[in-house]
Amino acid sequence: MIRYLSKRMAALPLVLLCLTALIFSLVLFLSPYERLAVFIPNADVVGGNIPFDQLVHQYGLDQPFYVQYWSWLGGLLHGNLGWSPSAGMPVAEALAKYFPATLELMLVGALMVFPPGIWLGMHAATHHNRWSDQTARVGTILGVSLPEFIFGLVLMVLFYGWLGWLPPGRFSQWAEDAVYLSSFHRYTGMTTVDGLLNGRPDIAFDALRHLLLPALAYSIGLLSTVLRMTRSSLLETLNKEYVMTARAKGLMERVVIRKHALRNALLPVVTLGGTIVARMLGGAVIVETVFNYHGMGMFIVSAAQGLDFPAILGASLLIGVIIIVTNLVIDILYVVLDPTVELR
Amino acid sequence: MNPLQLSALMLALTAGLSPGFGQGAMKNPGTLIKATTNSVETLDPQFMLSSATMELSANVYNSLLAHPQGDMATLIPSLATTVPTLKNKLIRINPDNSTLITFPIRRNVAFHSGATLTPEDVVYTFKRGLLVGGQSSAFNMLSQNFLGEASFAELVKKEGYDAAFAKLDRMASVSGDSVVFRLPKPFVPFLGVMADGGQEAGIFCKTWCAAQGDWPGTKETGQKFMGRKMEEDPLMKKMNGTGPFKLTSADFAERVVLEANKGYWAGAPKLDRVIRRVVADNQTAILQLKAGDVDFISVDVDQLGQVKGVPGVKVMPNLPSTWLMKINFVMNISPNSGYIGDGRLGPNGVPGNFFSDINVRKAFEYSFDWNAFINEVFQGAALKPSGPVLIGFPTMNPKNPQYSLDLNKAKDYFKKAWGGQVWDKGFKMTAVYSSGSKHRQMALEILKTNIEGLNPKFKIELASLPWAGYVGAIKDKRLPLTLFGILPTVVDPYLPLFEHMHSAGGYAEWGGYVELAKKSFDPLVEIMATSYDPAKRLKASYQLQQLDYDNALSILHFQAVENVAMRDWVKGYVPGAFPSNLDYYAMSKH
Repeated sequence: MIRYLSKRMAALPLVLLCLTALIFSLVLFLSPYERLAVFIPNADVVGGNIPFDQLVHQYGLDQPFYVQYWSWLGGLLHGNLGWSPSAGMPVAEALAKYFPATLELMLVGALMVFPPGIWLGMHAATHHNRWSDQTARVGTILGVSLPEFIFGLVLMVLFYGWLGWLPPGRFSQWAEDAVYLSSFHRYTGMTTVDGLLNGRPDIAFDALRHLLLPALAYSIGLLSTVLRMTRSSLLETLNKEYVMTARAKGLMERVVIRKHALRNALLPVVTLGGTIVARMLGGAVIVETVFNYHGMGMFIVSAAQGLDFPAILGASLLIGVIIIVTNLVIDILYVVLDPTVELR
Repeated sequence: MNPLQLSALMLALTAGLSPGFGQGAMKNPGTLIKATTNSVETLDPQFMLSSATMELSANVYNSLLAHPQGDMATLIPSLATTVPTLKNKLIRINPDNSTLITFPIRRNVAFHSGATLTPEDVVYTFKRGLLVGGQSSAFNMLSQNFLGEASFAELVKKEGYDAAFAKLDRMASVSGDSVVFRLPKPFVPFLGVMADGGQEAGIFCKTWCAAQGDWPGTKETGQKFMGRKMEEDPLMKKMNGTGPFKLTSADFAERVVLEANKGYWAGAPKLDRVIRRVVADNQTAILQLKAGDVDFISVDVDQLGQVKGVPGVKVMPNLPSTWLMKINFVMNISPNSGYIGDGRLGPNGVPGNFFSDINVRKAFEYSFDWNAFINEVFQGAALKPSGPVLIGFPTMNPKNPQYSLDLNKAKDYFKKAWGGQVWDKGFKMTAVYSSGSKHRQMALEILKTNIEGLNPKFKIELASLPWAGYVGAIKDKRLPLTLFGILPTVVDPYLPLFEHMHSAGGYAEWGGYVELAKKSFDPLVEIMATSYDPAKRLKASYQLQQLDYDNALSILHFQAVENVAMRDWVKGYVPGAFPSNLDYYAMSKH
């Protein structure tokens, strides 16, 4: 397995290089002035008197494609991903700042997706065609078909507008002020964790309050997917001969399901895990915008809208690494769950 | 309806039913929280490009002069103790036409860093802005007038560093407690630039700037600092002015926090703190305003219904703004454009010089329905410009001839255009707006409907481009019509006339009328720049407004209004040239 992992890790730089070359080549389709637009703020708050030519020259946007790409690669080797005008900071700094926020959202989302999704899927499968199974089936159809942004807006109006419980953003005003103080150390960039590490459980709780709605908004569809996959996979497994043998041996039904059926039934759910990570990253774009949650999603939206190429490239690199690492973890989980699988 | 529009509609419907909104006691007393969708590009006023960002510099920095609140036509002293005039001899024009303008500098004014303001700081500020290549419109203007070039770097290329620096050095000097600026020729809007309230011409502290790693002010070090990029600027994330508020923290994409400068030379502000918060979606800001978590927001006209009548929320709609929008005709469209069909006059395209025939331009002018546009987009509140000089600006001629919807005249001009070929052969082009810009889209839809109704052979297709692509396409001259405006930061008719009509103003190049501008407009625009004689300026301005009408350079389709909403505990708000830009000093919460 170590050989397999080494091979996969060795291929990583090549994959990322191809990815950046592909994205960078898109530059060829845009004129220097189009790429310059990111330096010109909002459409309706600037006048016509903009020093276009001066800016194009300053940023080297009139240089040939290969010069710009080579210069970017040179910076990358020195840990410099370039400057992001849309974030107003170096790309590496922006990623280090915004990715933990999104990761925190994804982790809370994962807690809302996997444990309840697997448990409900098991329950539906073991109560096949009974009312709880029928309810789960209808519920999952609703969950999958409900767009995240609509669900998110309804949640916000209900829990912020009506009840005033769960506000948008990342913090309440008082917590934000505390987090911006130099005495508050941002160890991980994840506020719930940093709140606890700084001995401020009130800040951690406030951050959690702000995480619940966005996490719920993009979890509901994913939870439905996990539930459906667990249910159908477990139903299939429960009809396998080895499960019948276990039952024939007189084992308790709980032991048959947990020890014999579930382990195999979870293999497709693990495969689904990779897709869910990708969907969570994609979902963050919409959910973060709706909830004004400053994370990678909002960063990517503003970078894409402004054709902020250094930011787009940096974010693509990071997402590429995340997807590759996730797939590696899934491969390893396969081996753990199914000893017959061998990685070469 | 795209997903975001749908979401806005849903939110509006649901939020309207929410009983919890608008109730409760004042939150965050002493702290004014403004939510905006505009992020900040830099904190260095000399590099600021957006008026939205200049709100910060205007509250942190002071310029030499200012305007009384709500009166943009009057100049009053600020860091200078007297407004220079010809009468008080602080403006002197020499026989060689060079002009000396003297500003006596106020004493005992402290920067936020604690240092005391000196005339040397004032001289440093302007030399620094020109040397490092400040990109704000004020420094563009100053560069042209002091150095005769678009930038100091350009001057160095032409004349060498020594000669260029000597020119820079001569522009301003200290004379006792005063600063004397030396302009090669009179530049009347100079005082307006100096009266921008700190927006772009705010005064820096020389020693503090040098301590931050900025140019120390010496000739020997100048080459290292000239022509800097915005992100190389040591002042990008720092501020140190003499204004009523000082910078506490800045996170450009999230929030900027200012706190009161209790030792402000004109008296301490009433607010303790101001937070300018960036939101991704204005719908979130509206919800936060209703809940009292935010005190002040701007609202689009179609969002007014969501805030009007909400208890505890005060709405001020239709506030005039110094923003004039135009539909500009491009007279030399690039042959590479994908928006002119086959590039030949006929049912499948238009030639690149389609708009060079004035009859085509006039036909388009008479095809635009101002009333329908202003009613549809601004619920009747926006203003119809009478010419390129904005309403409310000096020398605006209210009697200047104007185009209005007249489809018979439009038909007549189309019949004359291109020797009758336009009417006989027809034409086809694509008009482009920037995605999400309702006013651009609606203006083009009106034009399309009216023109296509004149002759079945006329076809105008509509398309949208993302903002970045739109700006690029304008500059690449790929669009037959461009919808871009004028947003002068100084209330002087020279600025809109220069931008719109002068050969070096930008629009002449984009629109392909540089030669016409050189011949017919530039001499008059020069009078606007150089004459202190109000009668001469008035005459030149009126002539330019008439020439704009005669040449039908653009459809001047509206002067904008803005809508703002605030909690009723916010006091002291007076709309300025940009109503959504706040003067925090005048405001309080109680």
